[in-house]
Parts: sequence; C-alpha cells; structure tokens
Amino acid sequence: MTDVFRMENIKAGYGDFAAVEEAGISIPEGAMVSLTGTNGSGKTTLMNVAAGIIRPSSGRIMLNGADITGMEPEKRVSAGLTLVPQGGRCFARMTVEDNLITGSYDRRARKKSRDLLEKVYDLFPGLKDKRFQPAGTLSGGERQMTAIGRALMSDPSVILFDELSLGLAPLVVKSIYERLKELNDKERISILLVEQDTVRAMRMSDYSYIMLKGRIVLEGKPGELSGERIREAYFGVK
Amino acid sequence: MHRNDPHKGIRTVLYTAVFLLLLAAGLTGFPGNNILRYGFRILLYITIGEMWNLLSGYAGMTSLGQQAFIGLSGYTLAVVTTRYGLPYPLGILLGLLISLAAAFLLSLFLLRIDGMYFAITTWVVAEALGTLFMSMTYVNRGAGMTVTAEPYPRIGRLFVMALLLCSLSLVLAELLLRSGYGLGIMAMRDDPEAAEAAGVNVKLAKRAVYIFAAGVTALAGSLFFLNKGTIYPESGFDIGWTISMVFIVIIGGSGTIEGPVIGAVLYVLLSEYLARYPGWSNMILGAIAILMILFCPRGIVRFSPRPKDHLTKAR
Repeated sequence: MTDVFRMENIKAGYGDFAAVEEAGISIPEGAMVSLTGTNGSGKTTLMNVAAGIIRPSSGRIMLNGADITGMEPEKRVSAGLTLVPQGGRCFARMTVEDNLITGSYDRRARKKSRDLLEKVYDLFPGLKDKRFQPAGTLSGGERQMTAIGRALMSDPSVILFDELSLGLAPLVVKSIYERLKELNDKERISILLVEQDTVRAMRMSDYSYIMLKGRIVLEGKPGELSGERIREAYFGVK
Repeated sequence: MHRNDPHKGIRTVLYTAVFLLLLAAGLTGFPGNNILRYGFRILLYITIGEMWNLLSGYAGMTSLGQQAFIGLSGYTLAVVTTRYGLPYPLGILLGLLISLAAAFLLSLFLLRIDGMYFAITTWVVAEALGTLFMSMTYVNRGAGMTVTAEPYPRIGRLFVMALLLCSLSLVLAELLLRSGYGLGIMAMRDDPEAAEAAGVNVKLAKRAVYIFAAGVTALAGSLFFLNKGTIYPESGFDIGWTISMVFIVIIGGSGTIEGPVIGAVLYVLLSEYLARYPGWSNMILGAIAILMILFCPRGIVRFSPRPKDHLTKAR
C-alpha cells in the first residue's frame, strides 16, 4: 500500500516554544490511523501544520506523492486533504445546509456539490431535518456531524479528525465512529483520528501512533503493542 | 435577504418598480428640491451603511475608519476641480482610484490584525490622515478647500447619481453574497480558522470585501462633498461618518440587506429633526442605539416580540 499522506521530521511551535519537537506520521491509502497522546503533547499543533494553518520550521509534508509543505490551506483542501478542527467548529449564524455547502468551496467540489450533499444527508439523516436551522442552535453531536459533513463536501481523499469525541456523550461518539468506519470501508476515504482516548481510537484503527512532549514515542499495529508499552508511552513513565 | 428566497420574483419586481419611480422623480424634479435633498442624503447613507454592513455584519471586519476613504475622495474632488480646474466627473473617478489604491495598501497590514485591534487601527489610520491633511499646504491645511463644478449639478441630477450609486452597490453586494463566495465570507465571520480549514481563501475574501467597501464608500463621499461644496480635514475625516454607519446598521439590522435601508431613512429623518436641539441630538441618537441593542439587538427588520424566536423556528 502506498502512503496517501505523510509528514516527515516535522518541527513546529509558537515563537521560541516548540510544541512539536520532531514528529512524523504516514497514512496508507484507505487506512484508518490513530494518533493519541495526553493534553499538550503537540497533537493539535501537528494537525494545524498538516492543514497549513501553522508553518513548520522544518520537515516535509506529502499528499498523494506531491510535496505540499509550502501550500496555502485552501489549496490543500482542493488537493484532497481536509481537517475537521477540534470541537466541531461550525459557522454559528449560518444554516446547517449553508455550513455544508461552504465545504464545497473549491471549483472541483462545487460541481459535485448536489451529489455530495445527498451523500451527507444519507450518512446523517438527522441533519437533513434541521438543514434550515442556524448551526449555532444544534447540539454538540449534531455540530460535530455538521463539521464532518462539511469536510466530506470537499470530496477529500484524506480527512484528519482532531479530538472528535471531545465533550460528546459516549453514545453519540459511538454512533459517529460507526459512520466513520462506514466512510472508510465504502468510500475508501483515508482517515486520521487524533484522540486522547487511546483505547477506543486504537481499537478502531489499522495503525497507531502515540505522541508525548512533541515526539512520536510509540507506533505500530494496535494488536502488536502491549498494554504495558502503551501505558509507558502515553504517560512517559516506567 | 435569504438564500433560497421563495419570494425572489416578487421582490425583484417590487425593487425595480421603486427604482424606476425614484429615477423618474429625480429626472423630472417633481417632488421639489427639499424632498430631493432629503432623498439624496438618505441614498448616500444607505450606500455607506450598506458597505459598513458588508464589512462588519457579513465579513466580521468591524472598521472604525471608513471615513478615511470619504476624506480622500472628497479632497481629491476638491483638488482636481479647484486647483486644476478640471471637470468634476474626473475628480470623482480619480477619488475612486486613489481610494482603491489606498485600500489595497492598507489591506497589506490591516488584514493581519483581527477584531478590536483591527477596529482601533482603522480609526487611528483615518485620524492620522486627517492630521496629515491639516498640515499640508497643498490642501490649504486646516482652512479647507472648495469644490468647483461648472455648471453646478442641480439637486435632481445629484439625486439621480446617488440613486444609481446606491442601487448598483446594493445589487453588487447582493450578487456577491448570493454567490459561492458569499458563503465563504459569512463563514469567515463566524469562525475564520474553521473557514480556512474548510477551504475558504480567507485572506483573499477579506481583501476583496475591504477594497470593494472602500471604493463604494469613496464614491458616496465624492457625491456628498460635490453637494456640500466645501471640505475640511475635520469634516472629511470625521469619526462621525463611522458613527452614523454603525447607528444605521444597528438600528436596521446587521447582516441583512434591507436593514441599513430602513436604518438610513430613520437616521437622516431623526438627525434632521434633532438638529434643532444642538448638543442633545447626539445624546438622543446614542440613547436610541443603546435601547435598540438592549431590546431589539437584531434590528428592526428582524424584530420579534419574543426573543430567541429566531433560534427555534426553522424558517
């Protein structure tokens, strides 16, 4: 399997503070990969680097074999890479449907926007009922679904989910995860799950990374990593 | 106005009829000079209110310095017509070009700052321009300049020019907001980072809106000073311009196209009426604005007797 997305030796931070010391991840085509770690381990910074919102001070980012390290955020979306930011950030004063259509901003996706919208409503029928409601009036789970739908509207080959389960009820998380599995299996969309909840994220994924203090400290297939090593990596203690 | 508007046809017919009626009124001069003078002011305030609405209500860029472009275009008109004795349409055109260029240059650094900082910086820039003109001999320093127009356009003609500018800016703003880019602009107002992550070119959208609003505001400024005949640093670069825009948008309803139209009518009529109580007029306008923010924060166009109604009803 070839890698559809890869980050190599990324270093990034804010001013003098390096939130990511050195980290690299790769997502094989059609895979579901997880990246877990505690608060402040640098996961969100790494995701913002992936989306182009933060520039890395060194390292390389590859998408479908092309170097996108210096690419503008909106061009990355056109090229097939979409980030669902932490907390399912929606456009509060806009309707659900307008939120979704905004996802098809680039010309390529805009042509397919009707079909993509149908697909999103098939995946999350609850959104169709509320499509003319301002997104600010939705529940946390519905907002996360809207954000996922918006990402799908850009017709991506890779979606990065930053803290999908943050602040959501366990049952809601379970149902959203099931939808993601469906997307991964049927649509062959490659997925990166960034989570604090190591157990669930690893159970879902084909390959796992654990990040601590700005570095990848452990990686491997979930079945091949022992609970002890995971605990060590996650908390950084023996 | 909403996307997927079910009454689009009716609205178009209605607005076209109003436009033709006003055009006929301006061309014939039938309503009389007094009414036309009121109409002229209302049309210009609709225009600048609508541009501030586009900036703040739709794009989330709250500027307190739009008077920079009113002053620049007013002064360009005065310099071109009085210092060089050239016809006033040339002065208006040149004022537009200078304002567009200034907006582009300012956007290079203004768009790097957000929110409150953006608001204050735009204000400081406008104040600085006022101070600069106050000390430039080329524009007679604080003594001000006159606008010379031969022959002087009658009020009917000024009214028609204001009508054309106002209608054109409304139509262009509406088209922009209905286009795919409109969604991107509103998305960037609600959450700039999420908009960027969704593929919106936030920098380009901000710059486009800022320059467009500057250009239209400049044209309105030219017409205003063409009518007034004189310009001073403190009238051209007056923060009062922005205060009136804020009043118009808050009273009418920000983030709607119709809001500023209603707001501008009320503003012009109120400020004319209150002009007989000097000293009190601004206080009364301020009190009205505060009451509106407290009891009808979404403006007259979206007044609903029960608050939060708009949140629970689908449409």
